[in-house]
Amino acid sequence: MRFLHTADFQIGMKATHVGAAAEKVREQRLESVRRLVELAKGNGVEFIIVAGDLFEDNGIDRTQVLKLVDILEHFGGPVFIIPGNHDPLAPGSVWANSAWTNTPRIKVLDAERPEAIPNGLIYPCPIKDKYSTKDPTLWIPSESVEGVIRIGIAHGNLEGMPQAESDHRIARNAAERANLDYLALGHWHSTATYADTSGAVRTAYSGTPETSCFGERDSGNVLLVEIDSPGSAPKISVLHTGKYLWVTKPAEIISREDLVALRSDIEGLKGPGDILLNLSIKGVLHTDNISDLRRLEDVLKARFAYVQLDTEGLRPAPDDERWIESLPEGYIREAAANLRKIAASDRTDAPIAARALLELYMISSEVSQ
Amino acid sequence: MILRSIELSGWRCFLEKVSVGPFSERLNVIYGPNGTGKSSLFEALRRSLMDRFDVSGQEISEVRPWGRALSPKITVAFHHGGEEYRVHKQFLDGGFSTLMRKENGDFRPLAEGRGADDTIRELLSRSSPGRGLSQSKHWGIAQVLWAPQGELRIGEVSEDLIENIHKTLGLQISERTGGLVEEKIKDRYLQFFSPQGRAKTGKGAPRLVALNDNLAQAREKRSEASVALRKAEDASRKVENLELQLKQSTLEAEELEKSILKARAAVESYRALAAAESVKRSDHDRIAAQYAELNARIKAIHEVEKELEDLGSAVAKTEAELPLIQSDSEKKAKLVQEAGERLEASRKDAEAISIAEKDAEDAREYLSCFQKITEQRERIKQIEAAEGAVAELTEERARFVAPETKTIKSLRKLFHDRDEAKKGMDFTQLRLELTPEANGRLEVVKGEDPGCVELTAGYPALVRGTPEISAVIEGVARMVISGPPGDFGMYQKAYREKQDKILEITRPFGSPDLDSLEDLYDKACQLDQKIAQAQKRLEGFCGADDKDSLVSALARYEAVALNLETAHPDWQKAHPNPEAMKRRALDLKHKYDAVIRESERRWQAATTADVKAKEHLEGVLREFGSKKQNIRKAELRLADAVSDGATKEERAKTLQQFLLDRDASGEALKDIQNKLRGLGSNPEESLKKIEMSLEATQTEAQQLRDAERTASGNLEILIALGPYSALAVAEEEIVRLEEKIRQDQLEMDSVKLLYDTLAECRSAVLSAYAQPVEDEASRLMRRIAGSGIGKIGIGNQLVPSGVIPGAAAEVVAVENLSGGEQEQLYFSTRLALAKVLAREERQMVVLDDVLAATDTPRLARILGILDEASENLQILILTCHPERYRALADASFFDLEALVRGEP
Repeated sequence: MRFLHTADFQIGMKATHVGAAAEKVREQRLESVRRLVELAKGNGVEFIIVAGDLFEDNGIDRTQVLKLVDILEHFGGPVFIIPGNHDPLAPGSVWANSAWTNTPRIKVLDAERPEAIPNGLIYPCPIKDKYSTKDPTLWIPSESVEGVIRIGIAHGNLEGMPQAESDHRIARNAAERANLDYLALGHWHSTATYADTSGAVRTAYSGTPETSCFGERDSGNVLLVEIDSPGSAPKISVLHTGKYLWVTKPAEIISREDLVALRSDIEGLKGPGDILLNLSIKGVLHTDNISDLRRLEDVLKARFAYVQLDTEGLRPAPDDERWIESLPEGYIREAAANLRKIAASDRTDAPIAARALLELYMISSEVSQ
Repeated sequence: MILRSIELSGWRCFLEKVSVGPFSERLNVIYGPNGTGKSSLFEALRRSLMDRFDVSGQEISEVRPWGRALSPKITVAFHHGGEEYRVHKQFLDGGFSTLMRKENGDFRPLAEGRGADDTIRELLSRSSPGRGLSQSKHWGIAQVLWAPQGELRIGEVSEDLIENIHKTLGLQISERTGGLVEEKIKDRYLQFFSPQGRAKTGKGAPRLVALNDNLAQAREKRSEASVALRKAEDASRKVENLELQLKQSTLEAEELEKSILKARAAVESYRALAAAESVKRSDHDRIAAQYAELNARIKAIHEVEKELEDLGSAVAKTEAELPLIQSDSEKKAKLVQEAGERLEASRKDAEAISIAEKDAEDAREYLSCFQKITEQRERIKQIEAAEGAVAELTEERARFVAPETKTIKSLRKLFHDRDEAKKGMDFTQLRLELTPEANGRLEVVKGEDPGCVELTAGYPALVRGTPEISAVIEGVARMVISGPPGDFGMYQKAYREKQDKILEITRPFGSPDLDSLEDLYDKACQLDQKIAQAQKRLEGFCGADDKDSLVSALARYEAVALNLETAHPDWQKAHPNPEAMKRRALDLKHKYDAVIRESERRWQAATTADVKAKEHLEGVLREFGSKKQNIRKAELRLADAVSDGATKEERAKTLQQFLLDRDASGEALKDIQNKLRGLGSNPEESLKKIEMSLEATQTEAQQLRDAERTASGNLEILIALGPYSALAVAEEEIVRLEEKIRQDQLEMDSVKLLYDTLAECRSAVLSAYAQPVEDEASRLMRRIAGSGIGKIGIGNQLVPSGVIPGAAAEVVAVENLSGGEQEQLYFSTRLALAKVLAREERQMVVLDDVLAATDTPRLARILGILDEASENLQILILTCHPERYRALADASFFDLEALVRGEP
């Protein structure tokens, strides 16, 4: 038996953390499903399992449902879906849309009863409530059936995970307890596998097929699962489906050359059009570097899919007073000195003073030309 | 600028051409008496340099000498910026302006007309006022250097002058770029803020304003989307709740249906048993009834037979006792009759007692009347005596007329007033009393009684009169007596009036004499008093009754007494003793009462016994009759009881059979009843209740279905709007806008901080320039007025605000200084400013009679200061007191009056 295990599409996800790129990011989540369908077809899988949270919320725009159904339909084979905690099986949910009933190959498993597949049985654990402390896998009977591969699909928090939440808790030994050959999990966005007492990996989170935020470790994947026979250890391969790379880059510049090096470093990143960059620069800003910084900002915005640039950690270089001395003598120069003092202090208006100093620098440079 | 000379004509009092100059570069005093034209000269100087030649209007017209059609002309030669200049200007008719500059030793035209005026202004002041006459703030530095008469006070100082001072003090940033930087900073600032410092709004507002508006809108959208999402979630929950309720309701309905089936089965069983029970009960009741009936019959027969037996015995007994009872009753009746006769006999004695009681009463009444008759007669006698006394006194009183109290009081007053009037007359009337020593004749010319009065020796003759007495004794004397003025006539009139009144009032009494009248009054009063006393006594005798009623009463009593004497003739001889008679009557009564009581007691006892006996007899007879009747009834009942024709044995046997049957049917009935009890209370009621519950549950389920359908429809509508997506879009927009706003706000704040910091620094620097002026002015002031004056406070606009004396922290305002000190304060300030302005080039200071209020000692110090100041300044003093300035040894003095006359 060969199938694709995926979950957590989070279609319609809110992306306030990526500013103007939100729509792009949201769009890409649908595209990632398209890619995983192609992968599924390319790898000749028999069916696809989607372990919950296909949608970000039951209140999303219904055109998204139609689009997703359309994409999944393109697989041409069975797709087994369970509702997750973001899209639970509640009245008015996305699952009530007629698109699901019009596609016989796409099955929304909305009840705790086994679903027969060739040589196997699927034991779905659909989520009906956003919050519940019940282990959704408890209903799965442990009696094995001769010659049948038993696959469970569930959505929740596996016990023992770091940062595990208290709802939808799934026992660590659920697969073993229920005599499952494989337990496909959804909820966490990072790919992770868990071995049972015999050392066989029978429990796994596929993770989200498209990374959803900065700092999300090892996401943008689907799992290709092969089980030769009932009881045998599954063979699990990680296939990458994500398009966008979410790069968080902290940087510090001390000398004038550091900014140049940083720029070079960033420009060296391949495929910037597919990179969402979170760049925070702290350190010391020399006056020579101000225009470089401006240029860097322009380049980043032009080339990368999204840039979040934080320069509040930059302070004017304390020994860089040449440009102040070039200011007209008298109170203009004195004003500059005062601003510099404020910018270098711990006062709450230090960033404003730094910016004011920058303004003065720009104006005086303009006048000098 | 240094003034070289002035020449003017056709200017106010200067008809002919007058030349003043050449002026010293240091001290110059132009003097002349009032009206010489000193101020006009100064005015002409100012207008020639500051005004345009083509000004018009009332003010310039007044410069023309009165009544003459002359055009004011002026020529001023001055030095400025290392050059010598000469300006010729003519105002009003044929106005022109020519500026000449010395070039190579000769004055050559430099500019004409407006060009000349503009050039001059350019040299001496920056700002041009346009057409019209200039104000001192447009004079440039001259506004502090030149003090017209009465205008020593410094008002508003122009920006140009302040700039000049800045420049001179080297405080201004002279580089072009500084100004450009400031301009650009200002331009940048004005992109966001108005010149007044408020954030721009409206058309020219920065992007931040629009961003904030957009943010507000986005927040509103978010709020709406959030509400929509919440509504959708609530709707979903509602549908879920309804589904759960419907499911519950359906389960309940199923349970109820099961219960109904059970209940129906129970009802069937119950009905069958109930029917069987009914049949068994009927049988049992029938058998029991038969048994009861036969049993009752047998009992009845037995009872009747017993009763007949008892009744027979009783009747026999009664028949034996009846004669005795009748005999007893008759005896008792006879006793009653005897007792009654005895009682009647006793009652006949009552009449004698009544007669005795009445006699005693009559005797009492008789004696009472007798007493009353005596009393009445006595009273009547007394009344008659009293009446006689009253009549006698009244008759005596009627014999004379006397004044009443009111009249006598009036008379007393009248007499008093009359006497007073008389006194007045006596007082005001003159008296001449002559006691001649020889006989003669007195001719009274004026007096009370004019005429002749014979004089007899040794006898006084009295002449009265008012207001004078004039009398003549022929050949002897003429006498005239006059006295103090007095109104004799008034008193005389009053006297006559009173007297007439007295006579009128006393006429009825026969005498006008007051004493007589008083006596009459007293006598009348006494008699009245006596009459009153007699009347009172009479009233006392009468009491509440009058005499006639007493007489009537007397007659009645006498009549009653007569009647009683007629009934008891012996009372005429001797009065009866009512008490004794009463006691006798009472004794008789007591005896009678005792007898009557005993007779009545006996009669009562006999009557009671008789009644009892009769009742007894009647009772016995009644009972006897009743028993007889009962026997007859019992015989009838017996006949009825045995009418079935059966024997006693036969009945007993039948009864036994009935008993067995009854017991058997009772057992069968009990059995069925037990079974029924086993089924509990009537299951039909329970079935009905369950059916009703089911119906209600089904109705509820239907309602839930309808509600669920409606709620689902609602939910679909809400969900179809995609509220989460709308919310996500709104929140993303908000985050984007907030970031833009943050950046724009940072930019705006930074521009403001830059602008404000620059302004602060500029202000701090600019405030420094005022310090040197303040220090110099304060130093000069202390030289003039002493150290106690403290220092002068001068603001950034170079206008003195007051003085800060000694250790005081507060400023004493200029208005609170004396007139002389104010003069000195402004003088010091002007001079301090002039010194600053003259740092680069010598300047002319003009003081037109401005120290009028300064005392001599302080003026002397001022002269010393002026002398020192003339090292750097050209000073022009216009005054009508040249002697005050003679101490300025190096000063050039110009006698304007002489110059006008044409004298050198």
